[in-house]
Amino acid sequence: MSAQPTDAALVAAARSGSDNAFSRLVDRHQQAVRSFLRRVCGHEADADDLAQETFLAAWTSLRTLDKPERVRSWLFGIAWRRAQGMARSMSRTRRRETDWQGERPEHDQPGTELNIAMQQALAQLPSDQRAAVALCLAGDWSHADAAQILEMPLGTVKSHVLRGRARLAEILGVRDDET
Amino acid sequence: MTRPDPLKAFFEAGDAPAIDPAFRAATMQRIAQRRLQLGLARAALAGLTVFVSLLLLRPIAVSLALSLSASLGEAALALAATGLVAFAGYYLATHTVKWPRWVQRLL
Repeated sequence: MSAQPTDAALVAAARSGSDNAFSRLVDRHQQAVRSFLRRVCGHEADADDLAQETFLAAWTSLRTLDKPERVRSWLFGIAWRRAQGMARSMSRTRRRETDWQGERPEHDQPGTELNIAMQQALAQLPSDQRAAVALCLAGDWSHADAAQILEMPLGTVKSHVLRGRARLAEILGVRDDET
Repeated sequence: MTRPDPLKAFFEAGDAPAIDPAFRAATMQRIAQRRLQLGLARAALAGLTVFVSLLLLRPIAVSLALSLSASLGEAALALAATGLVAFAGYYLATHTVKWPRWVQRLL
């Protein structure tokens, strides 16, 4: 059985021009990056578009990556900055699209019931809190890693996660002993 | 034993697929487009640099060509004559004299 190449090895190969290595990096990290962006943006198509832009930006600036073994947190940092940059314009567009979607029949809404409930609950959190929750509760990142990705103080991240969790549990009607 | 996180099921429902060839293909296509754009931009920049350089060097090149035209003509004539003599010599040497094989190989 052949061992899977490490992220660092794939980054090194991609830096020397291997498209195959970069596409393997995309395969390896697309689920995490897209899931994070879906929670932060609240709209799957926009989130997937942002995820593609994230990988494109990563490909363009691959030489600036200091620690290739930490490529995933680097990708999340790019994704978060992109999401922040687009948030204002997206929110304007989304407001118009959300108005239109309100008129669609319920069964026409994409995703499962749980997903819709979570998206609606996440939409009620401030964006910083949503990002912290998406990383630490949904993505299993440590508070320290999340602080680094989101470029926030550790204490702020911890507070966002705690408050976000309590708020989500309240909105979703889930009994949560950790809060 | 730790109890399962009640929020986990809600989060997992919104996860993107673990394997998505369509997403990979679309991403790699955007990368190919970016590579093409970068290549075209570099080629355009190189072309522009050459054009501007030629434009800036034009007055110098024109005056140089005018001042050297007379001597260049003589030089070209001498070069053509030398070439003609060399070609004739080569033709004569290879077609009229029966050289040993090792000399033929050199020619």
